[in-house]
Amino acid sequence: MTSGLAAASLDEFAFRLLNWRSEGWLVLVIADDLKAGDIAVKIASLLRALGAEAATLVTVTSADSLIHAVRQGQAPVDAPMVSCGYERFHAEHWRQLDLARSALATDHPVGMVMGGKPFGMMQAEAPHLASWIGAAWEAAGVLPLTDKERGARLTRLRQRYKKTDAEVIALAKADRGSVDPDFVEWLILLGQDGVLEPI
Amino acid sequence: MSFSEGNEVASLGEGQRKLPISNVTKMPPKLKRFREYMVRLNATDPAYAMEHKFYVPAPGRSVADRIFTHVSLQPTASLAVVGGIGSGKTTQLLVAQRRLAKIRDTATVYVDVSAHQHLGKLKPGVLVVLAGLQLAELLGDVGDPGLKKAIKALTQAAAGYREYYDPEDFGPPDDDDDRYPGVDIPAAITPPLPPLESTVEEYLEHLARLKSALTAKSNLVVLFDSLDRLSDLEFFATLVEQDVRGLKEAGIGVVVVGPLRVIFGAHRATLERFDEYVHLPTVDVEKSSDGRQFLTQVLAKRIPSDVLEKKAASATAAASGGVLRDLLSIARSAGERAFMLSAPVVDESHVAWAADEFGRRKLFGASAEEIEILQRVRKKGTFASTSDKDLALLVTGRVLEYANGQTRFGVHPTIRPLLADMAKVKLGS
Repeated sequence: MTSGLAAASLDEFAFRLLNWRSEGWLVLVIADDLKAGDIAVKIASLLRALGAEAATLVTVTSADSLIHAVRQGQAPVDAPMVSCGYERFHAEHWRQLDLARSALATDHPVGMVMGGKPFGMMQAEAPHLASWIGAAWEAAGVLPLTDKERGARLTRLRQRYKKTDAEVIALAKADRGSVDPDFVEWLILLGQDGVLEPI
Repeated sequence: MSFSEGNEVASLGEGQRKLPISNVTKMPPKLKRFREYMVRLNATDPAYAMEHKFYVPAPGRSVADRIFTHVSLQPTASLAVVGGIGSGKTTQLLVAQRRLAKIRDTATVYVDVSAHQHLGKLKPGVLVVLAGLQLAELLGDVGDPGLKKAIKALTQAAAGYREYYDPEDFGPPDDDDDRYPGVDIPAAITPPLPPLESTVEEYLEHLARLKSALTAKSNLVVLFDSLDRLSDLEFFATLVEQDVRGLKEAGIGVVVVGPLRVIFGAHRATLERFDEYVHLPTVDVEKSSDGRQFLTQVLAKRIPSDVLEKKAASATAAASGGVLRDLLSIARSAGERAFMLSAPVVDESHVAWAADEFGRRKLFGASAEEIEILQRVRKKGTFASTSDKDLALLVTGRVLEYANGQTRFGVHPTIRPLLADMAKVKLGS
């Protein structure tokens, strides 16, 4: 990772997004602009697995399309939202968004998934928006782990929570709507994330 | 410690690092308390801070004081307020409005322009119409037909409408009609200021009628917020030339929050068109003990010291560089860090982590040329406030301007160590 931002795994980002109670949106910066869409889909799925079944995913094409998506006419979004598509934004799009910053205030948090280039452009061209952003992380755990890395991570999780894999799967099955992000990660590492899907 | 009354808040440090599966939806006390911590540090809604009595007066003569003094002595004055992003301009405007509202003969109207108008599509007359609509709200139900007509005209002007006409109303062309061919003779005299546009004049007439309904209040002062986001300084100049001038000519006091760039370079002349401009500099946390004390008080007013340690509050004040929004943002981030680590209180180590994270975000995307300028400011404090490149760094808050007796520039404290590291790496390579 090269951005220097603090790192957050996708499930951690989803958890933070779900629990964000202050003004300002959250940003996840990813290494590859082209994967923003895929990552956004994964985060939206994680949000649903964490209990936000109405979580939405929006691909934006312009400043106006983002404003329209969050305002939905006049009513603000009524569930967490994940947005992507910022790699298409030019400087002018960001300037427009900066001018319209007041229209972006929402009751529920919005996550922006973008590469380093659009994030840098936002900092430069939309300073009011950038100042309003609640927090930004660099995506960690996006690249597939090696078997060794996966094993080490699972060992750490087992030690920290003093639970077996079977116990975690059983807990997740029993309580699908509200799973700790570490356990979500645990299940993903085991290839058992299917148990998170709502029945 | 508690944010709230009663026993619903437990002490920090209880519970585990993360919530056990079965407890996530039950919201344990620790989570509840940290959520409250985050809400209290809301940086983007000054009205919230005012309502909850979180406001702390700045040391010395504040911008609100200066607005109040100037407008109360000269109710038809026009004032510009200029300051960096997150420096507290809106708060000062709201404080000034509250104080002005206590003057018996003065009515005030606060207009957050961006809440009503797409700032990318502003045109002359917008400010007058918005002021009129806000004043209409203040007046409530009116019975007078003239007032009703004025409100209707302003409402229609805001939303647009279709005007129908009967073609037969238009008779054959007369001698003055421009449908006859003719030659334009240019005016011998060009006035120093262009005349007000006809639509602006029309809107002003409606606004003046509404103002006349304020029988107990002979003065009206309108405070316009959000125009600091305009990057097109030519257009800002047009608005000042048309709307602000028109309002002043109509005997209405005007306070406008304008773009920071306007105080530097060629567009400074725009400020000369106001009776006065008030610059809100960054609070000096390095050279002024009052500045540091003020910022720690801002935090103490919102968060008790058994949640955010005094030393941590002081470290947050230093890391903020004196920018109020950054102060709250870093404190929020430090709180989140403490929560994730199950710490009993937010301490200096959490603030250090939050400041580092904040600095990395602030520096993200800076070009090599910008880094070079930042290094120059860091080492020598020299800053060319006429260069667009330098100004961009000021607008994005990477460079901060202090005016504690004399003006000085410095890089944001959170990016200073990062720049120092970069310089070392460069030297080593």
